[in-house]
Amino acid sequence: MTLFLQQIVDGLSSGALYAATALSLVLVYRASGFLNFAQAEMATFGTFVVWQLWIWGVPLWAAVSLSLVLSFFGGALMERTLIRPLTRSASHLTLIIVTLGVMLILLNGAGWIFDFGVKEFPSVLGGPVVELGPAVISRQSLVVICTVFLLAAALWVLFQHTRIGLVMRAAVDNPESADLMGLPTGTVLTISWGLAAAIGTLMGVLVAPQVFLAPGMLLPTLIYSFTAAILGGLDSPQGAIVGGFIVGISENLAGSYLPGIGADFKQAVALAIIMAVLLFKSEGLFGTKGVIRV
Amino acid sequence: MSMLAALHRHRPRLAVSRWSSWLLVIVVLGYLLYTPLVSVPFANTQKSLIFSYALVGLGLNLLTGLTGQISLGHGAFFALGAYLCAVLVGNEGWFYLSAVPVAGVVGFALGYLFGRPALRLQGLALALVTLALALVTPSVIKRLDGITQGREGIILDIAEPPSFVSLDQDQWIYYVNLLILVAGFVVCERLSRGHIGRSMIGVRDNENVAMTLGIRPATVKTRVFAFSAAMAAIGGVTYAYAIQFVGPEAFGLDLAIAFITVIVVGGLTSNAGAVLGAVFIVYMPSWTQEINQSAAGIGYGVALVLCMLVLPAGLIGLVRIVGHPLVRRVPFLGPNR
Amino acid sequence: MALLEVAGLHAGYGALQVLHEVDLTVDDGDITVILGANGAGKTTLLRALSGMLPARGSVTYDGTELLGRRRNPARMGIAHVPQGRGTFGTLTVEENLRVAGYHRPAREVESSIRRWQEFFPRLGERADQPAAGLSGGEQQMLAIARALMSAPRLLLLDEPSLGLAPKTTRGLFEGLKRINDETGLTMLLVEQNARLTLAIADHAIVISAGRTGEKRPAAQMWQDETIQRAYLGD
Repeated sequence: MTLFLQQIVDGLSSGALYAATALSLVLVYRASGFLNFAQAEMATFGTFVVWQLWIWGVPLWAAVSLSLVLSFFGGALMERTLIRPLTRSASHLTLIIVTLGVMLILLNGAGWIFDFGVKEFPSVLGGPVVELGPAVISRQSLVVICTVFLLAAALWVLFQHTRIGLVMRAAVDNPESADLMGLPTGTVLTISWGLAAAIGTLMGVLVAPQVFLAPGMLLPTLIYSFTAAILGGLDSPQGAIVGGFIVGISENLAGSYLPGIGADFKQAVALAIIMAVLLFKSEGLFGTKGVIRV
Repeated sequence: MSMLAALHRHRPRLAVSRWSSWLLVIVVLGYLLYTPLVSVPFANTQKSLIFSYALVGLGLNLLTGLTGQISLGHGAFFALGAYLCAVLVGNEGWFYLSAVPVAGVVGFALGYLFGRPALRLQGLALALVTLALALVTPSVIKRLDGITQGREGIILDIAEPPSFVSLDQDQWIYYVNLLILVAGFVVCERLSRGHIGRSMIGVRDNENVAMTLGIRPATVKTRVFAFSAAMAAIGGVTYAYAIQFVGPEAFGLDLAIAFITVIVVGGLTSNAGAVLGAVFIVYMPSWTQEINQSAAGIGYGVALVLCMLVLPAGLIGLVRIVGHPLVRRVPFLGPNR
Repeated sequence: MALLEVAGLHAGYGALQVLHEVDLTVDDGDITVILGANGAGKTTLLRALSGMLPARGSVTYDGTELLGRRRNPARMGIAHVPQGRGTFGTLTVEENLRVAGYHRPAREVESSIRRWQEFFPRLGERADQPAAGLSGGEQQMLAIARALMSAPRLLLLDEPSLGLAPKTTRGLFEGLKRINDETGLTMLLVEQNARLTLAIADHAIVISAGRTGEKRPAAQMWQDETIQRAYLGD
């Protein structure tokens, strides 16, 4: 029972990371209609920027804030220069290849600038683990989980209670109508990419103390984040959150309890979920029907 | 902008006279046959590796370029071939060339089994599923450690040259891989022309129209997927010959992206392009490693982005841009003798 | 005085040329209707006017040439109610209205929302429901109210009667006429349904195979035999 509870708690902490990355993926998917394969590497790069500033003696909070702003503009720039020119004419194949290219550039660019060695990264919240009944959780993990819920709440406010959020929803619902009405559809696309990038960096900063900062540090989680986004329904932010926690928990439980799965083979569970969702219920748990052409 | 439009313009394959294309074949083959005799072992191994990647590229070109179905997961079939070779030849002592047909058959069968459900998906969904396959591959290899020796991998010493030739092992393997590649190239060239090629292009361009012409898209897609998986598996066998080692970490995301780079940089829809792409991904790191160990990865990335934005026809597109005026102007090079 | 003047307009989709020679004027405060059969180029004409299609020729709006300008016509006071309504199904009815007032000051937006909810009481009753749940007639009302939210000077309507029961259409057209009477809003309507549109229109123009005919008073159109045969079913 203790083991079981501990697995759930661990699942929640890793699920929070998947949920946040899935959230970034969903923001971009809602805006541009495809998945940004470079999302995890963008987050890692943003985290490296924080690390570099911190090494140079900038206080952590200032470094994080600055990097969040830079990430926002980096994501926005990528949308404007690489993605926008292609979205109207090009196929999925083209866009996927471009984001894979960007992923390689960022991965190796980080390796070039900061080398491939593992870096220690400061925790936001140190101290002893917190006991939750028989299970334990690190303070940093609690911060990660809380941040995901705060992010979800902030996005909810953005989408439901701001003018620009309303335009973002309208542009996703019916891009042509939104254009016809003179709504700033281009701007909201760019904002979505910027937000996705900033969210990525924030999560990168929060998980870096646990996974250790290195180029490609989030690559092992990429498949789980994709799974979370697909399971939740590719255009649903709340789906991304729920999907992230479901994937995190089931991955942990499968690794411990399903015979023959084990730590290495857990990723196959993700592959199975992706295939099952896409083949049998492509809108996922919360997505709109027909959200992804299958 | 007009220059960009010129680069984007579709160009057909070069129409050259029969004798000049034979001349080209003879010159290229002559170079390929001669060069291992005067090169250091490392250079030969590099070229053997190019031949492996080119085999995968040829299969992917049929799948992605002609049939329009993306796969990021062919690293899995490549790994399958490499491990089949390592286990059957290295551990069980089978004759090394027997791994080629075995990998072909097993690759085709598993490709069919995976492609059957997966190809009901298209575009992004298919890309995701195949990407997941690529990401899962190393962990599957580690999980099956009873057969694959897990993380340690399998060190090989296979494909000895027969006693009647006085070649070193690296030279012999070069010729073996070259022979397999030439055979694969001829087969793919045959498949991409004629009736089969037209039905693949029909499926890519418009499935509904293809259906009215009596083509069954699902069947065509699954068969092409299975065939390309077989090509990847055979490529994996030649990889095992060339490297003489298999280990799980070689078959992850990096490899999946390398394969995409092969066909994108080489030029989608061209068999020769697939070979050029393989040359690019093997030589790129050796050109750039003096700058920085990361430069190769950045180079791949930049090449992918640039190809999509500026040069969708890849290297073969460049060849055609240069080649077309040449073919038109130089006497005897053109198509009418 | 002409609010909109179109001269020698050519437009189409890629290689497919749909509009060959369109000339028309829309007078300020008028309801002008363009009658045409399926495929005559009605929708293409409105899309070209809204800058959604590349076009050649001249479109002068309030003294300004629209073609070749980057500015979105919607920002210059031209509101377009597209065929099929184009409402935002996942947004509530009220959000559909609010988002359309994006470029106006917040206070004006709120009073405008109230005004159009009073004008179309159904939209007030269903303010908090997702637009996707509305009936066809209500969707069309919403699309029109949404267009009005931008406080336009010229309203383009693409076959508002499409898919609606005759009774619903009549109510809708009476509403349009009332808006025109009360506010003097200029409207350009494209329709197949000549009987109902001619009843509210001031002027009418026939379009066929991408070419426009002469503009005539709507009352005169009633008398025209060819019109009667083609569009009134007599």
